[in-house]
Amino acid sequence: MTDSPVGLHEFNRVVRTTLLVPVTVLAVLAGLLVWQVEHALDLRQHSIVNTRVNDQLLTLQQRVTDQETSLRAYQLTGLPSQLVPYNSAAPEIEATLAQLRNLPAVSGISDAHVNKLEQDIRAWQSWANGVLAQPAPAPEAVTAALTQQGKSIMDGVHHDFQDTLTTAENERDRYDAKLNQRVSRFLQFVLILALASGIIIGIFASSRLQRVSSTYELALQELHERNARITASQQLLATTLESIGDAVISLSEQGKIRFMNAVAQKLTGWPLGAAADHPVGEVLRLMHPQTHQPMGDVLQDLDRSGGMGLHQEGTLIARDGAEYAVDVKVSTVMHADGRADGSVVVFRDVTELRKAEVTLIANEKLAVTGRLAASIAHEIHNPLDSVANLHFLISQETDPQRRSDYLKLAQQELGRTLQISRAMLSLYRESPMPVQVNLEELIGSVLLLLDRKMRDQNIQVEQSFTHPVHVYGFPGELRQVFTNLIANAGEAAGPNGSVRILVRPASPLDGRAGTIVEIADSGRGIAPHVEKKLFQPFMTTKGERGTGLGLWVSLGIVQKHGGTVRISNSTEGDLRGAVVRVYLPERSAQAKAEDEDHDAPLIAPPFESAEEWAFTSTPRAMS
Amino acid sequence: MSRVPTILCIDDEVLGLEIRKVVLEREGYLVYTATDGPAGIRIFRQQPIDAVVLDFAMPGMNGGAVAMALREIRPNVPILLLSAYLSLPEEVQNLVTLVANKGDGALALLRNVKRILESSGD
Repeated sequence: MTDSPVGLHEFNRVVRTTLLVPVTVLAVLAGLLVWQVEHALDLRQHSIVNTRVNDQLLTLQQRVTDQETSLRAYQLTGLPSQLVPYNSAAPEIEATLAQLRNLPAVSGISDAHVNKLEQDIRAWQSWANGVLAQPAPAPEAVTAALTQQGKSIMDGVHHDFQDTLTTAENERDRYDAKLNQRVSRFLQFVLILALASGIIIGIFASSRLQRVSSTYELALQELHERNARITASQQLLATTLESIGDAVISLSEQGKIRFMNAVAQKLTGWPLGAAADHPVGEVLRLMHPQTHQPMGDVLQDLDRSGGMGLHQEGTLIARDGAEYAVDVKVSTVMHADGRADGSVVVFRDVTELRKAEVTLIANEKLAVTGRLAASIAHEIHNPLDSVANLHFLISQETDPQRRSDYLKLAQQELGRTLQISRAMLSLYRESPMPVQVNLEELIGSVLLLLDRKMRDQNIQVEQSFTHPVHVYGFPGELRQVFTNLIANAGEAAGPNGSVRILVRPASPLDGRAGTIVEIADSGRGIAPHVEKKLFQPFMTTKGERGTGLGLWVSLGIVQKHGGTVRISNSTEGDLRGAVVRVYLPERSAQAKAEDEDHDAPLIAPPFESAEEWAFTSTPRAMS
Repeated sequence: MSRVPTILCIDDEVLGLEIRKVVLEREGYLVYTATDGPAGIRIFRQQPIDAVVLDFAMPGMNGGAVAMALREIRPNVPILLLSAYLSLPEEVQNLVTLVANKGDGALALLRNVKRILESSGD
């Protein structure tokens, strides 16, 4: 399918031929007419020549008659004066004869006619000269015989004239008739030609017009169909854009608003009419989700990402001041020929999702609590059991030394109970502000709670701290992370397995300053089909025993602290299971928000292992 | 029952185990102790044990597994399973004569031991 309607070319062609054919026919007709007129003019020329010849013949006849009359008068009177007309006519006769001899062929007067005429005239003239050469006779002496001689010669001359004139007239009549006939034939011809041309042009034009009309009809129909298709496609696109749950804003290359769908208008509070041609930053006001500072232009990172979709999250401030948690994605609009034409911003209201995530995180916290509660109950019930038994023994005992021993034991067991209950409480004793956290202490308290579980399974737990490590953060949340990760490692290691916890400062090679906590186990490592989903919520390999939220929440917490979590399968050393590496930056939580404003990349520490999955996405809205 | 009833106590908590032994001895029982399952099973094979007081949560071999092994040796030996957990799996509960919580005190312990000894009926 070409760009212009097929009908239009055809239409132009038909119009051109429709114009060309009548013009050609009329030109041919005009040529024929000119030819015919030329011919007629030719015939007319013949007629004119004939008339002139006629005139000349009549003049000659007149002059010859003049000579005859003059001679006769001389003969009768004998007066030489009577010969004046005779003499004056002679040169004219000569001249006229000369002219007749040089007649054009078209005159219809043959040379024979002219010669005969001249011969007879000369005969008469010689006779007349003979008469004149004799002395003038007395008038009475002119005999009838003499006169009769001249008259008979003259009669011959007149007869010649009559003959020639008749011929000339006949000739003229013939030409006239021919001319008339020609003119009448010409008229017929013109009439027929005009009629034929008219009919031909008429038929042709009508057929052409029919084609034009049908072509036009076709073109029109095609145009209608096209219009219908375009309208339908526009309708479909518009309906699609209006129906999707995401908000869509289309931007010009200058970042001005071209189009907003209904969801976008509803979320921003800007009707399209009011928002059109406004810079996107005015309409789509985004705040940083944590700091609540303006986020800047959504387009600014577009160049850096090469026009690919860029994900951002933020808080949208609507025109009426309402706030929505939104996920924003910006991409450059590319034409098929690779030309960029503005960009499109797609965003969605994730307020409910965020709330749900917060609920999920709380659920996980509860699940962790529940799991810990069981182990804590065990830890507390053991000393309590001893204390209760000791209480019985003390009440029965009379020996002071024994009683004192029992009391001491009871004291010791109570102390243990207290220690465990403190560790338990500190898990949820949370300060609203980040504080200095001693990682060694924190991990120690986690291990205390997990100790029973590990010992039940005869799992060896090694820990090594290369130096006293402090980070800045929320201790309760960090404790949740390490409880989760170490418990996972224990479960992965299984009975008689081992878990190694290594805490070391991040080396300059690792990127930014900070701490790395490595938790390695002797399990079977991460199965390939699981690796991609490790950090997704509800991902669990433990069936009904797991909530599937542990890693997801842990990652969220670590990210909140400005750190990263990486999980790989160990390929060296004696522990060939999974290795979880938690990187916590020196300046964490509090400083993180500031860092983000400057778009400081979170440099994840490089790891030596080849198989490694870094997870820096998904969980958000940690509060 | 002419001779003194003999009780085998198995628990990895050494202190609790020793205290429990004293409590039971004061009541007149002959008490053997073991700090893990395999050791307990060994003693059980060698001594004429009348009843077993068994801790559930133990490293390596838990109370359930130990109870199963003991019952394989002597299907109707009375076993009192002590647990710090509030609820144990049903299949574990079915393996033993009685389940009791830790921390209920010495009187409860003595009452329970007496109960399982009587239930054995011989």
